[in-house]
Amino acid sequence: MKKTPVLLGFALLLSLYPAMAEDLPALMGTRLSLSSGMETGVGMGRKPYGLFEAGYDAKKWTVQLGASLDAISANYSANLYFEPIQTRFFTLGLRSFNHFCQYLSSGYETDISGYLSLGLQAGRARRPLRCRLDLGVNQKQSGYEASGQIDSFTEYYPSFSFLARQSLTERGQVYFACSSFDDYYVPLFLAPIFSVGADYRVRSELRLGAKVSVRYSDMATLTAHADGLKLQIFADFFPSAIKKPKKA
Amino acid sequence: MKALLPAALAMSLGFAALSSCDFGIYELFGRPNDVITRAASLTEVAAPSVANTQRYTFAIITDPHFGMSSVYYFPESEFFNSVTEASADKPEFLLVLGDVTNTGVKAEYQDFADFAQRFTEACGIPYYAVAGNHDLYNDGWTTWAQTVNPGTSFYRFALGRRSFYFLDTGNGTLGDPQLEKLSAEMNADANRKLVFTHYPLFGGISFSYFKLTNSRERKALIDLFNANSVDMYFAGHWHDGAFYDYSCFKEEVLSAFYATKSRPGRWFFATVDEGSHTLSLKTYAVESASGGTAVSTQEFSLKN
Repeated sequence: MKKTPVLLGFALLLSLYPAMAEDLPALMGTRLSLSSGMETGVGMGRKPYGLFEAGYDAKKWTVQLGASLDAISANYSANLYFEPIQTRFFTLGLRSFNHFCQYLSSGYETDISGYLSLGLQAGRARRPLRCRLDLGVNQKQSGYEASGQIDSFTEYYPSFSFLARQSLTERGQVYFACSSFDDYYVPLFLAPIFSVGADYRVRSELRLGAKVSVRYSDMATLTAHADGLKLQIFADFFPSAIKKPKKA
Repeated sequence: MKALLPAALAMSLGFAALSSCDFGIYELFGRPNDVITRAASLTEVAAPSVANTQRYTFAIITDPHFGMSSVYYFPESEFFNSVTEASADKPEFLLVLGDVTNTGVKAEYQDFADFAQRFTEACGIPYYAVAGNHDLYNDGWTTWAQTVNPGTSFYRFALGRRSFYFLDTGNGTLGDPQLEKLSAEMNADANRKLVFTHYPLFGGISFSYFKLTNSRERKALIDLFNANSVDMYFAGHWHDGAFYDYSCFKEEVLSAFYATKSRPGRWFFATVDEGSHTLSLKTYAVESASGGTAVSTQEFSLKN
């Protein structure tokens, strides 16, 4: 019997023990995320990338800014959610998404999207199933180098994002997502990205997770081809969840 | 358990309905022989015989969609006559830019093979094709490779100092391996170039559909064409046709061969003149069996 996996598992349990004993504050306020991973696929090799995100979560709105770097481009994104209508079972709001891609060679892409966002919640209060569907329109402007200068053209197309999260415990959840874009890669219509992931709140201020995404080519004409696999691990840090020592 | 029975029944009926769809929708998440397999290497094929590599003409048709010919008007005789009756700049070969079938089944490939045989007998010139998305339905690639010339969709030939590149975009993407091989081959090729495939890059179409879906791949192609003396990029797929001038090269999205009530069937003669550095594109349009053939001509400059 190999000892290494057993020892690693035991060490993980030990590291989680203090977290299991504490009360979990709600995940509001500032959030910082670090992520790393790679894109791969048949004949693609391995393309590493890294990203950093900073966000702020309030009761009715969320803002998130992020930057990622890969082998061919630097990408920046901004998300803003506003959910003025919130009931126990559903939410209704708006989302805006902006993406800017600067190719390391030359040229750029910008994406500006607006969405109507519908959220649904079902199941037990402590382990709910939460779904969110964003439907909207994207405007893509692509700049390319032509004869020594940068020219550009503009396109419009429908865009969507669906996310289903199931809490398994108070600390852990799994999720499935199907989206026509991700925050740092916005293909043309309709090349969806399917993702599954899980995260676990190991401490009140720290959440760890992993995600696998499959990127498809043109699914609208029914000749889709899985032309990329993205593996991602991430750590979310919530400074506002750090417990302050009680005064004597 | 009671809830599972109707769910299972509904899923079975749904699957049966999807499976019976003509386009083989049960292969929604991946079809056999994807672009990675099909475009594993760039094939050098024998060039067509032309009398003068300084000036020659070739015909182009796209999206004939054999299998739909009973629904739409198919201007076969008008097309054959335009080739055989051409007095000057008679086409010396034909290019077919994909979707030779509608659903990729063998009967439709046989219809195309019969058409190609009639064309060869009537006009006496060879044809070359690339695969379109419709050709891949129902595992159509297996029949494509056996039936359609030259049996691959990623290939090249040269006429004088000009190379003709044919790309496989049947899945709506080149895929990284094909793109890397294409980059290596184009970078090592000093010839002027023309590129032929099924999917448009952009085509001046503001609605983002009927195009290559990976915008990074599109960007890489524009850069590659800009750096490697590509004069024109010819595509089909968008049946109404479109055009875009990238400054460094031009994209001509050609209209479909068959005619509908709202759109004439079209075919094209392209004349390359290396002496005057021009490409003349003559468009033939037929609306119905009783209508005449309208002809118009555009001229594009080629790089020195």
